Amino acid sequence: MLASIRALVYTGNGPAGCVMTEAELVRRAKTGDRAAQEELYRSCARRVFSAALRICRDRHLAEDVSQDAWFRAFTKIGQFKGEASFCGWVYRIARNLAIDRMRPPLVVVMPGDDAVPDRPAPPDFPEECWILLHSCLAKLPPGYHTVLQLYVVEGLSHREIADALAIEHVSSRTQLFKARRMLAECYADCLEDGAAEAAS
Amino acid sequence: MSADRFEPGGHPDPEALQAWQEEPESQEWADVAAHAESCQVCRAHLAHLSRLDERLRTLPLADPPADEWSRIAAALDAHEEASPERAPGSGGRAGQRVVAARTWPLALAASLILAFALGWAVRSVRPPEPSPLAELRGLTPESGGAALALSADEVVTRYSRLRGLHGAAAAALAEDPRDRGAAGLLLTVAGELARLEARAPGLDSAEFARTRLLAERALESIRAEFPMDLLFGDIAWGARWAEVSPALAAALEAAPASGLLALQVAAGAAAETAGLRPGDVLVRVDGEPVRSVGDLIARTVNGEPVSVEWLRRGVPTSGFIENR
Repeated sequence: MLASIRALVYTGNGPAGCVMTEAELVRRAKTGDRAAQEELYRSCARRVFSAALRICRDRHLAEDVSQDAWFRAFTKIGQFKGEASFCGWVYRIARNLAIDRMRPPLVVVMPGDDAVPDRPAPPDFPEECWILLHSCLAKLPPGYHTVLQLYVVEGLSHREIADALAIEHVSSRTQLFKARRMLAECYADCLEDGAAEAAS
Repeated sequence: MSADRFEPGGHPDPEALQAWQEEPESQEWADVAAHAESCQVCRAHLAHLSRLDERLRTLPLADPPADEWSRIAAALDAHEEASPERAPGSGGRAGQRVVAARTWPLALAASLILAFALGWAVRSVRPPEPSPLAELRGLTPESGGAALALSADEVVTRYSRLRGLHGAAAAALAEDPRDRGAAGLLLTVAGELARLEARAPGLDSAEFARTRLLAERALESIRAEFPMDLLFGDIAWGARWAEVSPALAAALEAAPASGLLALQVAAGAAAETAGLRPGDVLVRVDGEPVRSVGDLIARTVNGEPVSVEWLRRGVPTSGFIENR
């Protein structure tokens, strides 16, 4: 897979600026090589942090989740088998930790592969529309926001969301509907297709 | 065809349309599909939502804090020093020196920053202690408690944590014998402790007997003060509530200074549909602080959905109550 053979620049023990595959970095990271760990961290820190922030919405909470995820990843790196990308593995740890913060304990951590959702390059929208979208997301009730992110961005099914958040299947669907409706109303000015009214 | 899925104009309601889009193969939405597949208005609506989803998926990534790695590295250092059995990793020490040298070139500054970062990181990466209120999750009137589904080890763990909750309620009750929220919580917990003890005869029976005695005394002292229907908590929205007094809040530590603690939530009830679960502390209804069950009833008297906010393990959550 692409991520595991991607070349990364290593600045640790080897010659300055030498290039290493992710697999080699993981091998070194398992021995406690802090420079290799840092390189792995830098290769996907933004994606891991963004996942935590999307689900938790609160920046301080997301910082806690992100740090916790990386700490756990490197202290449990012996359990990483290399079957998926390391980035995807940490991503899933962060996502589960973030979900864990949004619901009570005693619920099993949901299964899932270690795939990071595809993130196409941001299209060229006016900056004010990005700002408006952030503002509209901030207005959603927390429950709606979590379900919206898990369904639309993380690609989980309603059944998976219901299991993860300890809510009913139908509640996940209803919250998604209400979240989209509120978002569509709030963001109507930037959806220039004229269909905004239909969404309300 | 299910008529209530269609609006007066003949189009499916938007929620049914969304459900069909999510499960296009499901026979449950066959009537919606029959209409929407040939309806341009419905197609335009779904395309509109797809564009919205697309924008969500393409929101730019966020940057973590600039010093995140130094915090993680400091926490890993602390972890390794506290765990002698950890794999030594000679390369790790060398690599760590490279990072340290690059990050903090001045020895004095390095030691100060490292000391600060170490203390902060060790604190911040520690997983949060689960709230004892979470133990109320297993208490549903229908199931008669979660004890039957637990292993012997889990029974002992749960018993131990519930005793913590019991202690908190008893402490609040000792401060004010008429604290009916504390009495409701205490009696609820005592009931579950009894079920747990029946499941695990090895539990400390003397401690359990003391627990039961306290509950019975509480019952007697409250019986003189309040009608019987208040003893087991107030009921509204299909849930039993305990009013959180300042004394109870202080004893529980994790709870806000006032609000309503959900003791039990009936399956399918309005409270459950809104997302509330036992152990949650309801703090606002329709934007206003809530302190008693009377507040709940007063604010949903006209049957309109109202917003509700609660804390779960200290995390603010919200939803809507549709009190039909």
